[in-house]
Amino acid sequence: MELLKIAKVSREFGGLKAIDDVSFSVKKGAIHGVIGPNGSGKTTLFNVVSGHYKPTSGEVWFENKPIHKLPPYKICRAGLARTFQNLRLFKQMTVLENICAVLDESSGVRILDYFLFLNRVLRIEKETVLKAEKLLEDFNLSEWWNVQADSLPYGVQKRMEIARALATNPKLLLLDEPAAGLNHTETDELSGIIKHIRDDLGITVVLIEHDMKMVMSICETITVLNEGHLLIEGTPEVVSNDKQVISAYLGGEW
Amino acid sequence: MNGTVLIQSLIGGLGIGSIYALVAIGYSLVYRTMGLANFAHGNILMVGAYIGTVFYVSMHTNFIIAIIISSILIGILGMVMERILRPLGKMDLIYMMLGTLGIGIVLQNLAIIIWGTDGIAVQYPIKNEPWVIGNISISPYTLVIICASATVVLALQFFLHKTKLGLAMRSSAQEKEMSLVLGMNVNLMNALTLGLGSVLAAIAGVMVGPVFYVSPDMSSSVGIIGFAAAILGGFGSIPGAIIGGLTFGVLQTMVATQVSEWSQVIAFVIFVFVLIIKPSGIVGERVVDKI
Amino acid sequence: MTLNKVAVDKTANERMDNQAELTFSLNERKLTNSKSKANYWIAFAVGVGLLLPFAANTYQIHILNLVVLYIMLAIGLNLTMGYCGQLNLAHVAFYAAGAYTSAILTTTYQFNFWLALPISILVSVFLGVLIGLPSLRVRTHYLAIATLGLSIAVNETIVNLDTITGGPVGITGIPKPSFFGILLITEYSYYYLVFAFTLLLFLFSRLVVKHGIGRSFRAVRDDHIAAQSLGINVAKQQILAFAFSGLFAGVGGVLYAHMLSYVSPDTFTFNEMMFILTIVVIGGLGNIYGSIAGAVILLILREWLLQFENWQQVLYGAMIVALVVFMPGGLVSIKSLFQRRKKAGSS
Ligand SMILES: Nc1ncnc2c1ncn2[C@@H]1O[C@H](COP(=O)(O)OP(=O)(O)OP(=O)(O)O)[C@@H](O)[C@H]1O
Ligand SMILES: [Mg+2]
Repeated sequence: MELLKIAKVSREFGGLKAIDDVSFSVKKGAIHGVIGPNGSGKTTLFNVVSGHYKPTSGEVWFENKPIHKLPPYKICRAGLARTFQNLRLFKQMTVLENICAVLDESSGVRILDYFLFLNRVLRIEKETVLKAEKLLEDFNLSEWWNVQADSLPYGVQKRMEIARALATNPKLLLLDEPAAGLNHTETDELSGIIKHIRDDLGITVVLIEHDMKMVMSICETITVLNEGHLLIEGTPEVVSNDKQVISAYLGGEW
Repeated sequence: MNGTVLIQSLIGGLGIGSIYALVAIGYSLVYRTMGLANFAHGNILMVGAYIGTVFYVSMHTNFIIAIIISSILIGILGMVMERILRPLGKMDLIYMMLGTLGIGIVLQNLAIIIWGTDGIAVQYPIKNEPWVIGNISISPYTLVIICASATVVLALQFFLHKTKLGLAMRSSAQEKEMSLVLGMNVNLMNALTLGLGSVLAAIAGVMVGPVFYVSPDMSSSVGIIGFAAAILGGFGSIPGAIIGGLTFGVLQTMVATQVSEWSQVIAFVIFVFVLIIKPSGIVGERVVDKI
Repeated sequence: MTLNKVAVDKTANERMDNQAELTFSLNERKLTNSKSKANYWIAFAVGVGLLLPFAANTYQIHILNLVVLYIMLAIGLNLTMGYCGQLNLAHVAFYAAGAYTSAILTTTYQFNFWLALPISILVSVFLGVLIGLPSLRVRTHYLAIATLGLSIAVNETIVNLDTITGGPVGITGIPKPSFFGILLITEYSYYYLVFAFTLLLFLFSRLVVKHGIGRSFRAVRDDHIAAQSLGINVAKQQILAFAFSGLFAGVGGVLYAHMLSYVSPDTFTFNEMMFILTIVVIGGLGNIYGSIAGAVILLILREWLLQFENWQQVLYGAMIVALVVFMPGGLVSIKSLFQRRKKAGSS
């Protein structure tokens, strides 16, 4: 079953076609890779899907509903979460607060409660913190819980960003270059986390990645973008043996 | 509004608008170079106006000489300010605002100590009998202001685009890191920019003296509208500052002919509506947040 | 440690989990400890606040009234600016809305104070929401000058509507409120009214900043793009922040009007706005205790500077510059500065 469908999506920036008539879909339960040389429009594609950029033309469907007209926060609430290529943490908040801030959205506290029903606020606060602690534990972040986000080590920051995205309880997770800046062990760790997210939590994953070894080892399907166009889509074997892909990357990392 | 009133208020608006434009350019120049919204700019203008007025009114120097003397002194003041403001350049907007505001308070109250709060009436430097063409009556001094401001702006553009120093200042504004690598003295460039911006404020201040009173209140009345004009055009852009200044001047004057006491209110409300429609100002490009 | 590895090495997993739990609960305990400590301090401060009038002469009680009033105003501004990161320079307009609505209702229309109060609050909250609307489109400098412009427009509107507001002269003869039959006619008795409201709003703000709303605000402040992508309705939070600004300033305005029995547009100026902003920034953005300290210190400073007559404002300006340049984190940063020193010293 298709979870996400991208239909003839284009996005221009003042004449520059960052993505041009791209169509593909993501199957439920997949780990789906998106690769392509620098500037090929991968991040732009994510930004369109998550609602930060409106597509110049084309449509995005999620669970058979069009989402390309929704604001980002509604897309998220529909079950689509993401991380960013350049980490976007709530820098001056602790790890626990970063997670709780997200959980608060679905916790059910109303503004009126702050004026009239303090008990409700306090009770739900406890539940929220408990949920957040569970999530932190699951991602081995417990020891960092009270550390301000911008003073975490880089690898931990990245892990926390993923945990925070999962706090929205998504059905689909978009990861933009999760391995960038990580060393070998950390990258292996990350592969494990991604599999854990899919296998144990049942969340479909789409990831943009430059680390070919990792992409080839964990993705079932790979979509290749080049200069805004969809070049080819297929299994890792098909993609890695494709002449067009090799020439697109020539001088790149292959 | 009939044609006569329209033309008259248009010219009057362009007159005060060119003053706003000069002030707005000062804000934008400094912002572009130092990333600093200088809330002391209005106070600098007021001090400049007083210095010019002292020379012109009390010492009977020529009006142009008064402008030049005031410009030089205020230019030096601007350069000195760079040293005080330097640590603020890297801070959050709110801290900059407060820091420059503090300097503004100091200047404001020094001016009050020296010159009092009463304000000084300044004579027109030319015979200012209105010219009457048909039904339309125009104050010649308004035309002087418009021409003089245009000349100043042209001179500024020539300086920034055609002289070595001007080019250096522009490149230091645009490519801070690169300029540092190339061994440019960025602090000096900042000081020169603040000096230049202040000179523009001084010229505007002395020129507007005969139209308004020269008084401590000038800082907030002209200062805040000058800032709003810079934002309206697109903060950091010189053409934007000119357009913003003229727009504000014309808007205010036109509304004033209809409902004089509401001119400020209506001008600000329209200003906010324009911003809502064009959140980066009139000429400012709508930048999509790079994510 | 990796998740898949951990899954394989079950004993290691358990060991580490236990360890994590241990440090976790230890930290938790530390946190709860400091929480109850904070409660003691608050109780102590309230006690001192209640007793202070007994030690104050008529001049000092006036200053005390102002201090407590400005604490309320500063905390309200801090919620919008320090927590939600919205450059709100219209706080003083909401302050004016509260003051004028109550003044008009209780003089021209002879409303009871306790009836005029909620109406005035509604008016200022509504104005807060209205002036907050541009924040959905414009940010940073643009928002600062938009709110400042609208705030000036509000002030001029008050001046222009002279049949209702008394124009530049203002409104006099605003009655003192009574509380269960006690007319709060002296500044001593009025102090307790201001104190009660400030305490109430302080406790409310403490509740807000420690729980969901506060976290959402700070998320919006730290990164509104990430916040959106995580399901936070940024627009709603921003409007809510402006509504809080309206709420706190509105209550402050009502109390101010009945404290002096007199309001005029001269109070609600750019300078006043900057004074409140200075309290918030000098105290520390994003810290409600900082705003309390800031209000105490700046009002005392302002009174102390009076002796320098003409030079008071010059010194005041210079002090602001010095404080911003040398202590950019505000008063609350002194603590962390000290802690960092200590650490550096011990290592
Ligand atoms: N907000 C924007 N405004 C203007 N141009 C943009 C914007 N965002 C992206 N672009 C342009 O669109 C093109 C595609 O950029 P994008 O970031 O999507 O590439 P990418 O595939 O993610 O590259 P990388 O691997 O380096 O992350 C680039 O030429 C980029 O400059
Ligand atoms: Mg990218």
